[in-house]
Amino acid sequence: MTPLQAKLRAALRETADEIPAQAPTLDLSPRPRASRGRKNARWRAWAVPLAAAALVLAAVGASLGVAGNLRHQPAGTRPQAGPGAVPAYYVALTTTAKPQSDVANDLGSSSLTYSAAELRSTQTGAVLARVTPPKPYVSFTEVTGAADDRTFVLSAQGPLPRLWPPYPAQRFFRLRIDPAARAGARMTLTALPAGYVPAGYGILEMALSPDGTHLAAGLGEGLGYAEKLEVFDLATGTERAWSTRTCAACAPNGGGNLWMGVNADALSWTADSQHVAFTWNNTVRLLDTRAAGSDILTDSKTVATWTGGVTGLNQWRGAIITPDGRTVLGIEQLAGMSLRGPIREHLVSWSTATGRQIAVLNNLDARKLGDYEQILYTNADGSVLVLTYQQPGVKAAIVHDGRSTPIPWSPHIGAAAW
Amino acid sequence: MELDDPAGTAALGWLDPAMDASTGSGAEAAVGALYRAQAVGLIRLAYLMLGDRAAAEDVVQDAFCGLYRRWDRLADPSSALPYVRSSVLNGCRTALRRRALGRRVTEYQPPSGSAEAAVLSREEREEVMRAVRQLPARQREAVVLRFYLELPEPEIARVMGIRPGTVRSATHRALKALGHLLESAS
Repeated sequence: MTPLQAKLRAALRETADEIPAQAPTLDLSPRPRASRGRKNARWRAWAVPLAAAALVLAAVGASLGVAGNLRHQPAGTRPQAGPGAVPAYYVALTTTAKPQSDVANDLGSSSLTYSAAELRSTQTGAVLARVTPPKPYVSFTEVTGAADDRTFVLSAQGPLPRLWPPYPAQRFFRLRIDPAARAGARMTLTALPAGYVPAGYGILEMALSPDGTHLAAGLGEGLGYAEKLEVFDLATGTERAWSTRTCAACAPNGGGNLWMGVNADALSWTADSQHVAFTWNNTVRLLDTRAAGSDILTDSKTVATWTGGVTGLNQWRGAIITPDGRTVLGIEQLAGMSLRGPIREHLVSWSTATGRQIAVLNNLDARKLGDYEQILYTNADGSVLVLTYQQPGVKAAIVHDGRSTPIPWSPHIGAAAW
Repeated sequence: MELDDPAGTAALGWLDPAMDASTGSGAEAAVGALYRAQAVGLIRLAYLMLGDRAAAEDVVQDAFCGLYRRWDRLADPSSALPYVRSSVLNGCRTALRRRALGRRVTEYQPPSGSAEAAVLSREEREEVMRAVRQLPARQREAVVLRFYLELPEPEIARVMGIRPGTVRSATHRALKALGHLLESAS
């Protein structure tokens, strides 16, 4: 424990001791709760703006056109889930903890650690295949997918010590799935080089390139935020690093990937499998992974700027670039300055040509905690998305062609990739 | 200085197996038992988050009322403590949001130091707590759960409803920010 940590612990304990050891009497008399009966109303309130959002996205997509073909497999051989042609299956990291239905879901609780990776049907949610981490690893931590719908990379870790850091040993694994996924489908899990995750480092975020050949990961030492962005060549075993330590803007509050409220979707690739988008403070920046350089700031360029962070409680929760490279999609949370004012959560799009916001695509009431949206999948131009959100309880929906179609979603799922 | 089970591990056996918790009276008895075992620790947790004893007590009361209402839907009695702990954190978040939305940022009011608080000088403790209170809510939660309750990372993730990786990043950011805040204050 560092001196700072010891000081912090002492201060917390001594401050907590100011509360006397005698608690006041518990009063269990019923009180009216604002959240009662909100479930359906909330869904309706959500669905309308989301449908409108999808219309906007569709219009944007149509006007810009679609650049490139994301799929590396003939479309006719690829099973489709129906709505929006979202891939027919996805890989979900799940926990074996007993489902707690609304109790846990009300709290936005995603999972503990993930004891299995499951191939699931997009349309039915059925588990088609299941794999657990090979020893000595005991849990999966992240998952990311390529554009062929069959190649994924997972990170796995060993047993967590009671006190950390250091991190337990972690390793990347490549997961490949039978071309025609169905019940009982075969999945192959292959360990990637152990050296990809240095000793003592944690994996903060990762994204597999659309062609499945490169893995971008934010790695952090100690308790870790991402101190460097690594791109691993999965074919050759080589790697390149862009440091967040050497640039002048990194301290004291510059941070790196995942800094300033972003907690998911911090890395994404364009369809060319060459450019990685990452979040940096209030911007999304694009890095050419084939260009020279190792400074994460000077060797990348800003493609979107979030302007909602001018007041204390506003934050954004993630941002990804669409594979065509023309749009950034993100989730922002805006808190007004009125005591009883709403806290809104928006799905927002930016044009990478101008760096400016172009649309607010939905408008949710986020006052109830846990109302965090997350973008799990986007097609080439962002006109088809898979989002998770709270209703309460984690739900998922495909947004496409002006409609939002809920899809089955298990409370066991903590992370997922298409 | 000894903490009275800050992590709440002793409470895991609080439920009398013979108790019929599916009935109203059983639920009341069970929730009451949990309250007696955990209320002080949870109020202290909320106090660290809010810096306001009355507000902390309110948050904990609300959390237990919520647990009582949902008792019959609790799949596993052993999940009651994580549930109520998360509810307390949620209540703190709401209180902090309301406070910040109204620009009523409350400065931490250090009470008089006790003889037991001699590990840090009062000034040092006030300084640390001021810095803690400047952290964003999520980072504050992470460090309080980590360094006060000493919860392991998966449990922190469960209580906060976030991924373990996010716990790590939030904790690291918090420590980094605290380091800078304390450095600039000194």
